[in-house]
Amino acid sequence: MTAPTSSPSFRGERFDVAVTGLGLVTPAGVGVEQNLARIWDGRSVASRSPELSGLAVDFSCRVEGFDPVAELGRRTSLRMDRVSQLGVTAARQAVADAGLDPESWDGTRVAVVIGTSFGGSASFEREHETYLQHGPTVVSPQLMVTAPVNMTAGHIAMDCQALGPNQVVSTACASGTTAIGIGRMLLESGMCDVVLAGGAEAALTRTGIASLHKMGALSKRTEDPAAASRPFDADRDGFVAGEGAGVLVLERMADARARGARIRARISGFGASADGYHASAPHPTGDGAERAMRMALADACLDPAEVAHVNAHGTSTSKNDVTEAMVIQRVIGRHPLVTSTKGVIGHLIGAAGAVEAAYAVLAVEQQSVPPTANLEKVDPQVELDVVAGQPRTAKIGAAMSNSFGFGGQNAVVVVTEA
Amino acid sequence: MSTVQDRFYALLTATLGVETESLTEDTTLESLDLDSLLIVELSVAVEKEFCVVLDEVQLAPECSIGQVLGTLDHELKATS
Repeated sequence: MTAPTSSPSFRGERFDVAVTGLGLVTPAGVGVEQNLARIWDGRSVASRSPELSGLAVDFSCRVEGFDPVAELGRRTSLRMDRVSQLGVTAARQAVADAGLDPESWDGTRVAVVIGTSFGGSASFEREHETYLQHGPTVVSPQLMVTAPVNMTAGHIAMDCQALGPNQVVSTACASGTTAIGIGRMLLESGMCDVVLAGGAEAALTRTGIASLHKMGALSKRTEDPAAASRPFDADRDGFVAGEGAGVLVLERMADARARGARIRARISGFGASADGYHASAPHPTGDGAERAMRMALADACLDPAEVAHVNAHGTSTSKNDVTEAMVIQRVIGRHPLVTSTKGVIGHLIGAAGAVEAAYAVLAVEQQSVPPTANLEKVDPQVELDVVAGQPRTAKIGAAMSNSFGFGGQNAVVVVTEA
Repeated sequence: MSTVQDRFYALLTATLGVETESLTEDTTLESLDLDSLLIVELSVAVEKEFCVVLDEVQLAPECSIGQVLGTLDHELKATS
């Protein structure tokens, strides 16, 4: 067995895939335009949630104003857990944004890869309540087709006749990023021509929030929820849980060009690793995160100096932000403009990586980095240029989006200019 | 006070997404495009709402809304 290398070079040349479509259903809004406005405005959308009333942490980041019946129709939306409602809506947006038409495409060449951590666990929790209160005879038979983690990808296939490989990945908070990486591999393999890659999560249940609170992961700033998610700030005390979905349409560059598609940006590199260390804490030196970042850079054939922007995992927890900052500095240096969009929308768990990769695509497209919400006093241990207050305009040829999950699962994508 | 029909129609909408405005007594369950899973879902919803268990014959796809309401009415009287 050979020792793990920190700088793999398994690919001699870069394989770029085009990002031709984006779909976003997040606490910052429904659709790309609302997300652009809210994220670049840089103010937190966290608020008190009636559903969490009475818990020690009673706030979260929800997709307010999302009407599944209006988006999907009553009949369709009733057959889905909220996670699938969000995911299918994001997929529809992404397909439309890419200028693709499911009525006319060869669906057998369209793959779906969706990351999620908890799938339809909210449905499971609700039916468990029913079971306890009313007994087994009135438990919904549909639970077994709403709760499983595979169903969002399945529903996307049904909704837009995407009949190619249909995959679900679950690497906790790195799930959405892993999905993009796997989607890119599918394109490189030739198994499909189009990939709908993304993540979806809707698990803001009382049990889930109670557990996250007890493990010490959540901010306890109940007196001011909007100030609770403050990545890289000296006074941060945990993350704010959120829900949402993000889907990217990926195509091989040549295919995208041949059909005259608008190419928003490229996914040029992917890296993944495991800490093999602890169920929830990052490796003290950020070993796994470092290997994933170096792998993504090698995959993209990029020199660290070329990375101008990092959309950090930046959870607003004590340990993650310091460890990640240390690794970014070690692997890339102090020069990139760093942001954590979790300041605005909280932590979308399995959807986070996909949504944040989409924001990295928008940052590259706009040549502008959104600010980190609530960053008032940078933690002195964070020796990075973290954007705060206002968006920062810069030449951004390449950006990195980091995701590090419970279980020590790490995934990183490199986004470059079209 | 809501009638059995009102309650059953509300249940059809809330549980299955059926628009009830155009329903008649002769409308069959299968014409509502309910597959077997949705019919089981309907039976569960009926049990929750009315504390009445309808079996697969009483909720067969070819049953009309009128027949289901008649059965429900009968069962409710039998258990009251």
